[in-house]
This record gives sequence, C-alpha cells and structure tokens, in this order.
Amino acid sequence: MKELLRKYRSDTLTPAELQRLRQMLAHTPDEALAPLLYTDFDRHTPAEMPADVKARILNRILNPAATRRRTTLLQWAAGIAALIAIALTTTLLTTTPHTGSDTQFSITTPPGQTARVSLPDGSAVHLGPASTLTSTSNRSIDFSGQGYFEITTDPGHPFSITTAGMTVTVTGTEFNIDTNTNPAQSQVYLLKGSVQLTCSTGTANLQPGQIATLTDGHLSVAEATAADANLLGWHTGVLTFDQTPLAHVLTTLGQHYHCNIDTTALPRRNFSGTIPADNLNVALGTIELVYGITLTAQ
Amino acid sequence: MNTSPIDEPLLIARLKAGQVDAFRQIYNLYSDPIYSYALQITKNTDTAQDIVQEVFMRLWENRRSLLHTHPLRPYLFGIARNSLISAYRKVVNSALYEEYLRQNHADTGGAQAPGPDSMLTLKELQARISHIIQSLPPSQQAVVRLRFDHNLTNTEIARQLDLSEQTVKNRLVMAMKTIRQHLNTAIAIATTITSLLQPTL
Repeated sequence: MKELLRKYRSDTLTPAELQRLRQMLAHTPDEALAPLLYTDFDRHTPAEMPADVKARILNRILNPAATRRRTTLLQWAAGIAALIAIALTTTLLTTTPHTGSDTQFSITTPPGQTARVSLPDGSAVHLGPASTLTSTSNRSIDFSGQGYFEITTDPGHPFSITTAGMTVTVTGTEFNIDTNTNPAQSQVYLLKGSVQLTCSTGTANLQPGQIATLTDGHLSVAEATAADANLLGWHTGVLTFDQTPLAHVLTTLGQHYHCNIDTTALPRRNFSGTIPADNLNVALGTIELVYGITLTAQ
Repeated sequence: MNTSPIDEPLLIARLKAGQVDAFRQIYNLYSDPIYSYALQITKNTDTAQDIVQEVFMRLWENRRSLLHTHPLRPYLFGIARNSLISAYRKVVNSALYEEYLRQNHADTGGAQAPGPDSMLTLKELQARISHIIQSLPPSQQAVVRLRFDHNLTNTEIARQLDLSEQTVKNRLVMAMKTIRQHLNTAIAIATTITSLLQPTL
C-alpha cells in the first residue's frame, strides 16, 4: 500500500497496479489512510507555488475584506444574471488626481462593488456600492452614497464631510452615511464618538447609537433599533433578521441589492437569521431552501 | 526545508499573539512543502492551491487556540487531511487518471519513470481529450463525456442514456481507439520537438 502510494505520487503506477490500488482503497477507511498520507506530508519540495499565487493567498488570508471587494462584482454579476434582469450601469472605479495638489482626488465605486480608501490624514473610509468620495482638502471631503467612516482624532482640525443637504463635522469617530438607499433621504448612523450635523434648517449633535435622517430639508434624530443594523449590511457583509415577515426580508434584500422583488405571492412566515449581504445568489438561495419556494427571475 | 534551527514554540507563541510576521514566517516555511505534496496527491494545481489556502486560513483564524507546546506539522496535516484523502480516492478512481497512466506507461514502454520533459500533465491530457471528443460522432461523445467528465461506470452510463451495456461498451471502445490515435500522434510530435530542441539547449 505504501509502495503504491509512492508510485501514485510520482505517476509511475502501471495500469495493473492502479487496479490493485483501487481495490485496496475501496477497503481502506479514511482513518487507516490518514497515517499513510501523513508519513510523507511536507517532507520535500520538488514543486514551488508560483510567486504571485503565494502572495495572493497570503494577502487573501491577512486582508479578507480587501480581497472580497475584488471578487464581489463578479459573483454579484453572475448571481444577478442568473436570477434577475437588472439594468446595471457600469462606472469604472476611477481615481482622478487633480494636478497641483496631493490631497485632491476623487473615487467612484460601481454598483455592487465596495472599496476601502485611506485618506492622507490616516482616516479610513469603506466606500459602499455606487458611491463617490471627493477629497477637497486634508481634512474635508465631498461625499454621496454609502460610506463607513473611521476618522482619526485631531482636536485642532475637525474633519468635515459635505453630503446632500448637510455637513457632518467630526473630531474622531466611526459612523455610517447613506444617501443611496432612499434617494430622498440622507442618513447618518453614529457608532462611536460624536458628530455635529449642519443643514440649512439647523444643527444637531449625535450620540453613539443614534441615527439622523434628513428628509426634504427636515432633520430628525432617533435611537437606532435592531433593524437599523442592516443599514450597515453592505459594510459588515451580513443582513440580520429577527422574527421578520418574509415579505419584509425580501424588500430589505431588494433595497440592499437595488433590484425589485415581487413579494405578493409569498407565504406568510417570519424569518430569523443572517443572510449574506454580498451575494444575492446565495441570499435568495438561502430563502428558497428554508421555505421550499422558488424565486423566479424576470 | 529545515535549513536553520527554528524555535517553533516561540514562533507559535508569537502567532498566538497575532503577530503577522510570525504568520508570514510559518507560511514561508510550510507553504511550498505542503503545496508540492498536495500537488502530488491531487494532481491539480488549483486544488493544491486551495488546500494551501485552507490550511493557512484556518491556522490564522484559530491562532488563539493553538498550543505552543504542540508541533505545527501534525496540526497543519489535520486541516488538510480530509481534502487530501478525498482527492486521493477521486483521482485513483478516475477514468482520466487511468488513461493518463496508460499513456505514460506506453510512452516509456513501462521501463522506467517518465522524464518530466516528455510527460503530459493530467490537465493537458484532459484538455487534449476534450478537444478530441469534439470531433467524435455525437453518439460516442455522450458516452465518453459521462465516462471522463462525470466518471460514471458503464452500467451507470447505460442506465442514464437508456442503452444496453454492450452498446455503451462498443461505443466507448470505438471512441477510445480514436482518442488514443489522436493522442499518440500529438505526443509523438511533442516528443520529436523536444528531442530536436535538446542539442541546442
């Protein structure tokens, strides 16, 4: 058996020996096979991994989010094509450096793709799908779309973000801005620290766990509920539901993936659990599986 | 691979503390040996790379629960164990591998191990076979595809295509005859080119 394994590894089995190995393997349980395989495990190095593959695997392990970004669009596109016909506008990820200044640049993400952006002052932004960030100076940006901001502390120099209808001023904090989900609304969801919001009708100071919503120039502040965690779904990679009616779950999915889902013929059931926020195919597959229903693409 | 003495317990302790350079060091030590072994078992570069990725991904994810008194080698093997065993069983039982060995064997007259230069990889063989299959009559194509791509037995193919087992056998024999003819021509040409190139190298 050991000899046959050695010959197998070097592809020098004769056809007759292969037949013998097949018969022996059929009668050998995994438990007996494992020690044989272990004997020669990693002992010698006749083959090397290509350097680029080696680096890619290491990078994928150490920066899982960064690599997810690269594959999301492909998976997403495949899922969409199979399930739902959707008009997909493709804006390429563009970085346009303005001449003359190091701190001025603009980044736009295409639908379905996110990006992590490091700003010159050390702050970091996780840019959601179909979002645009334009740096206007070292500590200020123009922004539209969805973004999860981690702003570095610099007491003398507050960071300011100008977005549809309001300005967000911060010292050092983490929060989410969303002007995409509902085009008529701009939302700021504060997780850590504090921010000040300024719009034409007034100002508001947000505390952690609060959400500010700007609708038609009217600014309101409310405590975030469990359901609001899904506002961060694009950032965390999962959507979470607790005893939520199925129709509502699919509406949330539709909003998240920017497609229309017809929820009229659904069973009246509640759903609890998490659904991936970065792969519509898997997301809908999960629901089909749990409820034994079929969702059709149109 | 063991060129300089390595303080493995210390390396594991640093990995447990989340030190990325300790992880890199372990990766650089073990990735090629694991890859080359996985390649010999799976006969497929993609699968071997997947195994390496799985091994180190799990090592990184579970770094906090590692015991620095326990050597890494059996731990890493433990992660790869199931993938290796199932790949081993799958390849040994595949019709493609059988054909691959037959080609190698015929090539060297069964005398000695084939030289790495004249040897087809399993992947190349698969590519060539699927290319040749396209030129076969449709009735033979279906049978050969089920045999090579889905690794079904004659009985299973007969059931699936609603044919008699003898018909399946006949079509397979005819198809294999054509495939081997084409393959041998291709290999003969490859070998000639290799031997022509040899003196100039």
